[in-house]
Amino acid sequence: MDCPDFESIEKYILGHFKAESLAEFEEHLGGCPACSAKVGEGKANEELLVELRTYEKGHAEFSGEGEGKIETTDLAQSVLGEKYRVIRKVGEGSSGQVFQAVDTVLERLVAIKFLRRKSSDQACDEIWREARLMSQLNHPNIAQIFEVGEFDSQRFIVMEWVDGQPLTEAWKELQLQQRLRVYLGVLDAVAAAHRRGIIHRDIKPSNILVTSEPKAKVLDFGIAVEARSLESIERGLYRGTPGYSAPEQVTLPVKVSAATDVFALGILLYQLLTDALPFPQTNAKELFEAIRSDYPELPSALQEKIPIPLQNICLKALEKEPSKRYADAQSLGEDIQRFLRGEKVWSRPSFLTDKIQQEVFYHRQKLKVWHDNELITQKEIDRLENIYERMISPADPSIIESRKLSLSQVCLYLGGWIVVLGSFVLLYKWEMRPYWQPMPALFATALMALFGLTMWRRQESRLAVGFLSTANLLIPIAILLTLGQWGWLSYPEYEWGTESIAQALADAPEGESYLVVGNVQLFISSACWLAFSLFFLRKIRSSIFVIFSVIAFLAWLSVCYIIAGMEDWKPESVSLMYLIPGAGLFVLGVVSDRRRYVQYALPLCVVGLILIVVCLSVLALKEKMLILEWSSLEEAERVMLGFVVNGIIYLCLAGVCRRLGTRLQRTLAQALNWLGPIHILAPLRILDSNDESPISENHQVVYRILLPIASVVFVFGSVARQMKSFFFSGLGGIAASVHKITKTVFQDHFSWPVSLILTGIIWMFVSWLVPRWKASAILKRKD
Amino acid sequence: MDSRKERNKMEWVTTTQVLDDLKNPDDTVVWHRFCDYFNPVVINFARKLGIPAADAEDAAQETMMVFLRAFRDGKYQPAKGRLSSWLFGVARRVILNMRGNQPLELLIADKTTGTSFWDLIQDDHNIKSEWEAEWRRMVINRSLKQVRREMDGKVFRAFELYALGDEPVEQVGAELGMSRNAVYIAKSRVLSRLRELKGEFE
Repeated sequence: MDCPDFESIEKYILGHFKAESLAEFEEHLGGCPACSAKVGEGKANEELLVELRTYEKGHAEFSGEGEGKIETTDLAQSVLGEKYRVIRKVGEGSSGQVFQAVDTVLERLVAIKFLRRKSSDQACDEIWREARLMSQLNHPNIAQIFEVGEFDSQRFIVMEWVDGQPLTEAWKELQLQQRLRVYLGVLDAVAAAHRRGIIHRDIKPSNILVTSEPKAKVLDFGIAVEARSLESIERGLYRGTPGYSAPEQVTLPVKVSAATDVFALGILLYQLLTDALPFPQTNAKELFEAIRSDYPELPSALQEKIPIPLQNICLKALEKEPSKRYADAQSLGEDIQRFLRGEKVWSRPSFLTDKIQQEVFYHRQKLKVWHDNELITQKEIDRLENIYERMISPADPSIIESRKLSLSQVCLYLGGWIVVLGSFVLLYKWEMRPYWQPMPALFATALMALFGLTMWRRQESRLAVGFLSTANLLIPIAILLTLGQWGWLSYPEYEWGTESIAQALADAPEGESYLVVGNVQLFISSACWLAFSLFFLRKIRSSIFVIFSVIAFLAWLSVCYIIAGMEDWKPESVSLMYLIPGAGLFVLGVVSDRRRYVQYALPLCVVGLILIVVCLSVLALKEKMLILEWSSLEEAERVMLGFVVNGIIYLCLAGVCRRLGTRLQRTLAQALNWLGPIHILAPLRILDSNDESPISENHQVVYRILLPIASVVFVFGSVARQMKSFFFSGLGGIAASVHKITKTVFQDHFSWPVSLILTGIIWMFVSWLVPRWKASAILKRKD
Repeated sequence: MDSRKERNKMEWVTTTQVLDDLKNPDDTVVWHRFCDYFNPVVINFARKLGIPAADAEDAAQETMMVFLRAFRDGKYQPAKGRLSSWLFGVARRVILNMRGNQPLELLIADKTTGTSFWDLIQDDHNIKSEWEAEWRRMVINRSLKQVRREMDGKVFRAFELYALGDEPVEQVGAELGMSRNAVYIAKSRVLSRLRELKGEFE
């Protein structure tokens, strides 16, 4: 038998031979090593074929490597045609290439990115769709997409060519304030994209170029997905993008939302503040683990003097749960703008709150143990529990919302109210039948209170606080008007005390007084005011009602003071010697505070301080201020200047207390900071007010100039340490000056309302302006 | 189009060669080639375990990086085991770590059979065989591509139509203008060369 052909061998191997020829074939194989080798090979080949048929399916999927890649400028040029002249390749990777080119029609530089088409990759289609969307978006901080094109199944994106440095490089030369400005540009760009439903997905410094202006340009919107695998392979390092991934990007299933971009923006803010990455791990596994579950080091621990509101904003953007982060770039930007405007930022990263709650929980557990062992009394426990509850309760969003009401906003409301009041008084001074005169005030009060409470119920806390504070301020006026105009409990039929305010008002110049009020009426109205203030404070828990309560209390107290006839109390015997026990008690208080006998410190200091204040006041009244002896001043002038000197003493004392640094001393310093400005500004106003006073004209002019200067100094002095006391008394001083000026200019009945309106406007303006300065002062301190 | 042809003449590189070249830390071309070869294996393997495409790519990169580090530290010795087993070990660890934090309900891998990721992981032999399959697929596809480059177009086409396409010998012969025997020879030659290359690669 001749050697069989390949067909026969295959038939043999596959068992297709008929029985009779099989024996003959096998006989031949036994004698022919060449054929038997062929059969062996054929068997192996058939086995391989089986394997091949199994695995060949995957063939199509990966056979495309190396295809569809534009690698050289020539090739790029051939795809692009004549519209673009390719200059050079600027970036390359396994999944896309970027070329610099010139648009020959419009003669501008462009960047052209080629996308590799993957049949299996839906992401590519999505990129394509988003690039089309982005091309409709024109934003100064986004590198614009001019064209998306396809030629010979090769997709490319033509973008604006940006000449700049990557963000983190550019930052090295910038100060914090400039960095923030650049960063806000980035936020603006991302926010604009978010509004269109486009998510960047890959925000990182190399995707943000900073031009020489400096101005940020965000690149690769929505088309950055591919660049991700590109970069890490190209560098041979797992760096760059993974460091900017959000927890939901490294956790399955991956759910990307606008909050994902917020996380990356949070990392940028962290770098902006500290020049470090929040998750510095280089190993991908550790890095992902950290992103998923670790909290970053506090920025303030890495870098000194970081503005804490910015730190809190940053940490809130870095929350693990997307729902706890800012919803999008816009709300993140709003909080930073709020900081720059000097408003209060209430963003708290949840882990800090959690930490506080945890600590408080443990401490409360301990309290029970201490009480069981009779280490502390039930009363002390109650007090601590109250404090703790107040600490934890801000979790209630409505309370946080109402506390967002910053001092400046309150001032805006107050200014608004003053304008309203001025207009009201103006109206009131014109024609009205007496019986109806209190009606507008009563009506306005009721309306404001009603609005306020309704708003509060509808959880619009800011508006509620505004309305309720207006109502609160209207209450005493409305009551006084009603009682006075309707003649209830009026002077002199119903009267307490020895001397009436009504008498003093009757002595006032013609036209200044339109109301006759008695002490009883004053007492009732101030008491009602206090009651309502406390009621609102309890209900709303906003700090503005603390201030109202204090003012109402002071008003009520002064009415009591007048009723008791305390004005006549001028003991002749008081001298400088009386200062010694006061100062002694105060020093003793300070010492015991330092020596940890805290329980004695408070009463000692308070009593000491009261003695000092009383003593100094009496001395001023008795013209015993020795330093004033040298000059030829009038009696009234000496008294008032004595108070001014006292005010300066209080301020010095406040400085000393603050330096002592304990909690008690800080509280005392706060109180003294209220006393000081009032003692300085009020006498200056009084010195300038009395037209028939014996004070010489020249001196009056000096005081008239001094008052606004001192007021302005206090307002600006409040900037450094954010002191409400200086701010408010300064504003008061400005109001008094304005009133004086309008009185001089207008010289008629309308001076009051007009001055109120003007004051209100100035007040609003200042309270808008000052917080901005405060914020920039904080930033400058950091720089 | 010329450059594309040129690329097709790309030289045939065996595993041993790739590993040798990889010792030079500055050679990015080799690194690219290494990833080109083995990334698809890890990606497909990960996809089989129910990991989404993007994460599968991450897993592949991570696996490559871990391997490269170990390789340059001299921890991988070809004498002790095949590259396939080594990469399997690395990839398995990487994917397990990636999935470590996942709630169980998210780990349904194969929705058609209801096999969960954890079921697969429990059965180590099972996932090992998945890996082997992916590895073999890669090797076969590589070799097939190389044979296609080496062989005469007609011969390879004959092999494709007859052996893979299961078309009758007569039809293939008529279509390509070849004798019956020539078709059989073509099949035999391609398969033999394929076997050689396969052996060489591993």
